[in-house]
Amino acid sequence: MVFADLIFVFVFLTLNLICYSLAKGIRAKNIVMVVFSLLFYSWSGPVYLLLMLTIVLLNWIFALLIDKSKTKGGAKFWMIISCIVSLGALGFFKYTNFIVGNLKPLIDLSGFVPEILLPIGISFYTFQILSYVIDVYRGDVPVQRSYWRLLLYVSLFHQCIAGPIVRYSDVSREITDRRVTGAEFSQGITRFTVGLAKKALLANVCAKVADSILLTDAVASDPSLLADNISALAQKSAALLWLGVLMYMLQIYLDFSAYSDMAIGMGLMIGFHYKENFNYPYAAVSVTDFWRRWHISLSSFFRDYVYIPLGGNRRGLPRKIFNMLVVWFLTGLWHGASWNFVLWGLYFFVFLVIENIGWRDFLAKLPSVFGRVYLLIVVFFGWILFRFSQMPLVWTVVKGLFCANGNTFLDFESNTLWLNYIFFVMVAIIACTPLAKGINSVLTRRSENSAAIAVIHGVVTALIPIVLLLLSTMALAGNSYNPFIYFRF
Amino acid sequence: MKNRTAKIQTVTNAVKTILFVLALIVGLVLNCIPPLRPTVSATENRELNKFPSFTLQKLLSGEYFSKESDDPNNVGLSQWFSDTFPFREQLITAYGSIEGMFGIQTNKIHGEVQTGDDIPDLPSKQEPSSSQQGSSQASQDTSSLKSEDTVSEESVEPLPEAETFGGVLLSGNTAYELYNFNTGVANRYSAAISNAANRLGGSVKVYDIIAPTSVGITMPDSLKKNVNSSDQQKAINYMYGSMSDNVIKVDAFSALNKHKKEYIYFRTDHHWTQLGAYYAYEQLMLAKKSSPVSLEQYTTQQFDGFLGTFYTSTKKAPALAEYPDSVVAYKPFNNATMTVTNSKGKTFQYPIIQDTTTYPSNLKYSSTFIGSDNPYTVIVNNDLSDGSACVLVKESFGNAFAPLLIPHYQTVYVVDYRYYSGSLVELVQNNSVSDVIFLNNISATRASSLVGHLEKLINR
Repeated sequence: MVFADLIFVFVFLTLNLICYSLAKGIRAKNIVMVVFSLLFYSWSGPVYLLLMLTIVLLNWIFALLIDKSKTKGGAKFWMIISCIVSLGALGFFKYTNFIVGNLKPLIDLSGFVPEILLPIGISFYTFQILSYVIDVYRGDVPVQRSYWRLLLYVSLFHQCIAGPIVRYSDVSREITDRRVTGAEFSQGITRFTVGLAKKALLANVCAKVADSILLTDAVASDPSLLADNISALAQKSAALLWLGVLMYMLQIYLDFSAYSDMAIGMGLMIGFHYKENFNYPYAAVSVTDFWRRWHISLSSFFRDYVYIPLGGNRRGLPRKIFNMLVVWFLTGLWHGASWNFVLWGLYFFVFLVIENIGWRDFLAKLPSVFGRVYLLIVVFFGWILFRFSQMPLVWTVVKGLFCANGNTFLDFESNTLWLNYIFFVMVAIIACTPLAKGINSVLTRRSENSAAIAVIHGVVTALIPIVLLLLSTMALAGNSYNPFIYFRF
Repeated sequence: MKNRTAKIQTVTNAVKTILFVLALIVGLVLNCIPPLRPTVSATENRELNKFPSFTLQKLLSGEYFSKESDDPNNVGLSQWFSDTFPFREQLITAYGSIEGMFGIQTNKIHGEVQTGDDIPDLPSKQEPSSSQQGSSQASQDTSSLKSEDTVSEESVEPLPEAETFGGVLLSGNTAYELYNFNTGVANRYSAAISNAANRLGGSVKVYDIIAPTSVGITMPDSLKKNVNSSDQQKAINYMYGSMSDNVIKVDAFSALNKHKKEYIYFRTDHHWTQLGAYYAYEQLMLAKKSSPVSLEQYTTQQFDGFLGTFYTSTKKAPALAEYPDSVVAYKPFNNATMTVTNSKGKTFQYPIIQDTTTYPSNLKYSSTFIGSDNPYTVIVNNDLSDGSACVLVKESFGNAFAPLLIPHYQTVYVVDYRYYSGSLVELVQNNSVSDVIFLNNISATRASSLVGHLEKLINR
């Protein structure tokens, strides 16, 4: 089940909120959340539920052992065991097929290893567990003595399968002590419906257009269709490809940030405060800035648990660059078990290094528009690498953008599609900027001096969620097309 | 001041919360009232998903909840839920008006545009077995299969095979289905027809009519030269050229092209009108060296307000709804009776031309002519007693065509090759049929699954 699914909104979430409000006391409320979360996780097959329950159980024990250890060495031992178990499970379930595939030229193991399906959310919940155990080891958070409370943290359906990667330290207190105020519940409603609308009204449309131009993932990743795919892409006009990649660029942000919005919104409805995961990344002024705004919970995870432990920037420039290399290799690999994701991570590594050795200082002296344009170009081409697991397709699209496939710049299809979606594209671009947020804060400020503005602002804010909910329902009712592109993560 | 603002904010929050919670609860309640859940979609012309049956195995594999499928009887709870959401039809229509604001949509492309193969200049004469290209295309074809030809009339069953596969271009108030040539499937089609001629032997004449579609004929030249759609004349010539000399090829393309200013194709549907079918029929008579019946001999019946398959595939484009099509039918003047065998094996008499004035707007083509797409239909002309007989092998383009054959044969056997499970050779031999007429629209000659059915019919 995904959030932008009618059954989720009108049955699952509705029942969850009803049960939650009927439950008396924090213990009962937590039981409600665990039960709903396990049901949510079981939706796409309860088999991997056992895996998650086991991983949580083991790590719950490891953390207790760390806490009990009298010596630093003993604690370290259990922390390492815990990392081996968690990363081992992640490695096995996510990367076995990839490794076997890569070893094939040397030794063919494919007969010995079964095809493994990726357990949903494993990339997200493994990282949450790691952060918990390491923080216990570091003494940053108290150990959790209750298995069920730890399970609640890991399995909570708000963030279990699509992030954000919530740190245990951010919610440890709220697991046993949380309150919902009317203002926060209302804030949560807005946040949730904005996310739902971003997904249902914008991201799904972007996906449809992007797929129609850049081939669907199923077709593009099928090696037996490679020749057909190359020739299909090579014939597309340049303007069409620009539209396709632009739509994909919009889709991936709107889709992913929509899930974070919905998670944060649902958290607020029951008193959890998750940190922001996106901060208008396409409005960044450099690649460094972009990665402070994009999937913040992931980049801060790598910063706190990989980059800084490796020495960060305190051991000289060469060591710093090496540390960055490790981080960006892992960031890429985390996104999917395929070389294109690794290359995508390393692609950003290159720009980050260049920025670190002077380019960012230079950019800072120029008007910010230069930095913004540069960032958008870098990200735009990055998404092509992200989209296609087969390099020849990446190269075909890049060439096609500059008419280097013998393709024309404009043709009937490109003219038609650009015109068909021109207003939509404008709205989607605006949705990626802080414009709406800015208007809201101006109106909030003005409201203090003018009763009329205050009333109008009040009416509009009260109506926005219900209107967005209705519009999203309309879009989802006729839309069997409802893909969730983060399943590979 | 601060106080007032705070008060307004509290009220705002309360109203917002009440509205949202109320909407969720109303949504939940409505969803729990079974009569509100639709079971068929009139505009999409299909049955909606069925509530999934429970098995432990489905639960454990996750299929019970989240299986996604084109088969309405085999979906998970999530898909069933949204497919049968209360007021789904109205919600979709409302959303359509929002989609209309996405941009400037004088021309609009629906579905995926697939680039066709280059059409070889020389025909292929060798017998291609199942070529690679054909089979790789097959997987793509089935992925875009949607039952669009379904009819909810009592005489006919929901049909598993669709006819439209490609992208649909909406230009002004006319829609066209784009055509992409597929060499592998085209070769298989030519080979199948040649094979039929060989198997049926010398005494039976085999005719082949490949009917062009509107994108090849009535689409304005200014659009045609820009659109990514293969040249139909060239494709037909290639396929005819690749066929055995025993097959008599009927040049429907030139005839229709000569009359392209007339109302020979629907604007909201992928079929030809019966007038279009008539021009192809004239060419068949020419090839048969018979004289065609002139149009004046027929009286016509007109059924207005037809919104066909393109209306569905453009998600109910308002531009099409504004100018619906009219179905004009030529009433047979012979004393003829028609016996239909439907897909359940039930046999019954049915009018050759049905009055569809009161029928839903999407059923007017399919329900008007010969009771729609049934596996097997026999039309007997009681005015003749010469024992003459023909077999028409067709998909739905043949429905408007079949009645025109009545004056020429005592018996017209109509076989829809997608659903007929008998043997063509036996049918011909058991009924001393002299003429076998294959009538296929050009879209069918690029669809691996359809040509597969044709091959089976001929080889049985």
